[in-house]
Amino acid sequence: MKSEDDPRSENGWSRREFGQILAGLGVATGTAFGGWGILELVRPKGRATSWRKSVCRFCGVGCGVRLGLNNGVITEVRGDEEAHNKGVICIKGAMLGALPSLIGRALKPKIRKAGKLVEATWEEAMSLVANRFSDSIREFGPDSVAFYGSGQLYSEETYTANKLFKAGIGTNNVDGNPRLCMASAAVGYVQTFGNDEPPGALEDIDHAHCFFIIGANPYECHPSIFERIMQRKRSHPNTVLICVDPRRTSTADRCDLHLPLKPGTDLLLLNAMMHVIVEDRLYDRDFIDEHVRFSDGEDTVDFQALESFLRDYTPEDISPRVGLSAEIVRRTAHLFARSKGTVSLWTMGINQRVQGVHLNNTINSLHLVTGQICRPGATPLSLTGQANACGGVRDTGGLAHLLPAGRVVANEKHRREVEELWGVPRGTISPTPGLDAVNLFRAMEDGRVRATLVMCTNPAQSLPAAGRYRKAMERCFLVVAEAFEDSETARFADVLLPAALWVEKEGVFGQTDRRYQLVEKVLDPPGEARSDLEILVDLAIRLRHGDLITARTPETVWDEWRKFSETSAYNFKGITYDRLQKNRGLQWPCPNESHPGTVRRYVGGDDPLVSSGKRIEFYGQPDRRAVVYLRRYQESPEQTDDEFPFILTTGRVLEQWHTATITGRIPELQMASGPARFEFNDQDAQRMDIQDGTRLEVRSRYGTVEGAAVVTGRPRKGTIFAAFYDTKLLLNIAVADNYDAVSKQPEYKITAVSVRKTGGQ
Amino acid sequence: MNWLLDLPTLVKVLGVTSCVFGIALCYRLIRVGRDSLSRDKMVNLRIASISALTFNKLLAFMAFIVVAGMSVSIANYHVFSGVKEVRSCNSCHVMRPMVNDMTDPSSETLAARHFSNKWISSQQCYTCHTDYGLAGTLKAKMDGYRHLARYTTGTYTEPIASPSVYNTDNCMQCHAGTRKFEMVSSHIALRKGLSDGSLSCLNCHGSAHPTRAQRTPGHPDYNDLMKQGD
Amino acid sequence: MGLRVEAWAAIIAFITTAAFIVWPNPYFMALFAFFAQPLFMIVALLYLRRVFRELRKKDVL
Repeated sequence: MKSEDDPRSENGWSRREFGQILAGLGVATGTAFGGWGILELVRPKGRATSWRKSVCRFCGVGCGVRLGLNNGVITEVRGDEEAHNKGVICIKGAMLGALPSLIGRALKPKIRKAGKLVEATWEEAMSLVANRFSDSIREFGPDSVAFYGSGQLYSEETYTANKLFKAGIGTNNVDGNPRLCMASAAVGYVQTFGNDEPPGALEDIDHAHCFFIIGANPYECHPSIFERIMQRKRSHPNTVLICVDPRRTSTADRCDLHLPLKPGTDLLLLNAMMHVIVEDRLYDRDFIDEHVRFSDGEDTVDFQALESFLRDYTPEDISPRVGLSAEIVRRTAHLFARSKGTVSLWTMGINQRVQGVHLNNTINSLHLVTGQICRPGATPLSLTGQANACGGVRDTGGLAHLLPAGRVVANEKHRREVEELWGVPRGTISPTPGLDAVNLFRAMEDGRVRATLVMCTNPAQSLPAAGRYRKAMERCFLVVAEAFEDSETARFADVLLPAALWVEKEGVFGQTDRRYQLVEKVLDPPGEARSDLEILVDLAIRLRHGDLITARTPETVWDEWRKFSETSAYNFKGITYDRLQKNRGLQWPCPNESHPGTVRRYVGGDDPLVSSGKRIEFYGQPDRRAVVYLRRYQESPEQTDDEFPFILTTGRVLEQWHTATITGRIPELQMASGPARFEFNDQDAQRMDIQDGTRLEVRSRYGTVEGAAVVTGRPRKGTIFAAFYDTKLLLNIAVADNYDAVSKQPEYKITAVSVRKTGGQ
Repeated sequence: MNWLLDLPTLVKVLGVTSCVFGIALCYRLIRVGRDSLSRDKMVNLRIASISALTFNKLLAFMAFIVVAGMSVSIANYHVFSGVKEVRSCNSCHVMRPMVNDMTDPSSETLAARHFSNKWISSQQCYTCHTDYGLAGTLKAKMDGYRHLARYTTGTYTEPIASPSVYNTDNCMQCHAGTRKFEMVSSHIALRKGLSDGSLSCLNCHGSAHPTRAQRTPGHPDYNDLMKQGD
Repeated sequence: MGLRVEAWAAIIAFITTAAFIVWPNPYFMALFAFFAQPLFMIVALLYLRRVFRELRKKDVL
């Protein structure tokens, strides 16, 4: 052993030295790991302690969101990168975290006593509701009661309400807000393809070379879709964006071509485009021969009939009536037909029209004739307004003329099938279609309908000619299930039931492109609020239909509905809760649990319902051919005259959703949108000496509203635009309630009005 | 003359020289026998003669303090200037998808838009991912070291995900105050949420990078995103 | 004098540092940052401790 002082040989090593070196290296390594450990401890963390996937509850895009949670509070909301929206949401979605804590939530049931709503127990409220419904049914028959629902309810809820009313109570008076929003699109698809719901998908946006946006303002109303369009444009700058709108919207600002046509003349434009396509031989002859049938609405006709029909629609002839040059019409037709892929997008400007169905037919027809369909980037794709109007109402048959999964009340075979599936005796379902939205409220007016359950929607603000129907609501025993106690409709409630909102309950949303997504329960509802499903089950039991409504939880209802769908072309049997929990939504048809879902319908290899070996098959029609209808233009009943020289058209703004029951309570959104105002063309404004802030009275044949003006130059001359979200400007009071003869969807977009300055600023 | 002006090369040469010099000094210290350290043995340094002991003490000071300090400083300069470069981030393969996507002219992610439009002309990763101010720089360094430790020890899983939320202040540094930004009423209304980080710019303006799914091995895009750049 | 331990440790640190400077990849960067740097620090501390002791012995301090 060498001591410390022992001399060493020149190159010798003492153990001690080795030890020292090793210790040094050890300390160095220790320092490294220690430092790393400290860095791991102090690494930055977000406020959220856990994250859950969810779906935005506002518009029909159904953006996936991720909710950051901490102690039962939503601290952060992020767009879900894994969902179809690729992480993009809008300002409304970004504010979703505010929903659970908004002021004005209905916390306890209330019953109207001596004109005032007073708190009650659930037992008192529900037994009163059941008694009034039973009394009415006994005395005046099942058609004296009604359900008025919404595309904001979960599919399970509308399915249950539909079953309870149609197979239990025995009335087809089941309608709702989607009648005001999507009915024309739904009927349009059914007439053309034999099935409701779009053939294409949002994914087609990523492959399109031309976007034909007509009667829609996606920049404000479907922002994540517009962002997707712009991303396509930025990465493929030759992509053409065409916008048809009487108003220079924010969407039009960003389009290559804006066609500011006269309100209500779209069918002239579409037929003229068809004219150009036929005249310049831009059609796809092979596609037509193989997959298309022509019809004049009653009989099958041939291609020559189309040619002669179109003689009345030369661009030059229609030009003065539409207010567009023949040249731009021709150019649009060429861009539409000759692009490598054209996607048409439309919403309320087309649907909310007395010719809504015909307009929908004709847009579909343009795609069929040019073969711009059933391939990536080429499709007609109607955009939707509510989060669950497609899956929840159109698919479940939650409208007065429908039965679930594409069946209709008027068809006896369909009624028998549904009766069998629901296990009720033959003849239970009434053969008479129920009352559509406008006629339902007219029936309240004259006492034919005496008790109505309104769920998750706000007809007192959203109906056209709202003044008239607000009075009608006063005459009816109105049960309102609503999350907020001071919505416009809650004012007319005889019983107000506090409802759970969004992630306070569980259920499936079905959106735009046949996509079903699950909204999982994340929070408990406040106060005594209950889910709409719980309310419906309770009502069913009290009305002695408990043995009909045996599925009583979201998942069991879904399983019943999913198995029901197997018998139809809406087959989504393979979309289970389990899959929806794991996936960011699935698109039907999806017949079994191993099926990945269908992006493009009617396309062999993608859609499982297409016969094997077929490349394209429109299996919804008996002859497997989609129908191109020859639809004549008819003028809107609303025309300007000396008394009503302006056309009022309505819409939405980016920051508010629908009647702003929710978004109007979020300060950031309220601040961003400001109050609703009447937008004027600068020439009209100058002629009438109207400036920003000028107080106006706007009068129509239906009602009068007062509000302030804003001069933007955006609307076409002679047109006034206003948004309908603001309760201080209940615009729909003045809006016409003319409706499409087939879809029964009202024409919100065209009302002749007069304008009078009231003096104030 | 050009090579002289190339700072990274200069630093490299200086650093290596300094290390080699340090090694030589240490080697000499090891070789020095105890005998040669007597006070009597003199070392002639031309301008002065000093004892061998004193000379070796000087050598030790040079090796352990002066040259070591110089080498560490140069290497750290190398670290701190090098890591600002995209190339440096790209040297960890998990970062390749971000860089490949960013430099892909047809990509529409936020990073790619900033890159292809030359909104940020150099040091793109560093510019967006370093918070402003001294604290930000410190935080970036700490994060960087943590990432380095994780990466080299293999204690991570693909796809990598940030445990924190992106600091929107970094977006605001450039965008706030511009006409395009202020024109959007939503931005004004959301000012609080944007400044306290409870709202993300990405919500409305899209993903910054390829999604986690795309960066998961087995995804159809994975191999493309992982391809070795230059 | 006997600074062999310190000298060897410093050589290891210098080699690591040089390697990083020549090949700046993540692994060498980690070795430099987490290993060579602390090692330099330890060497410097050991050296300074020795200097301090010697000065104390000579009653300078």
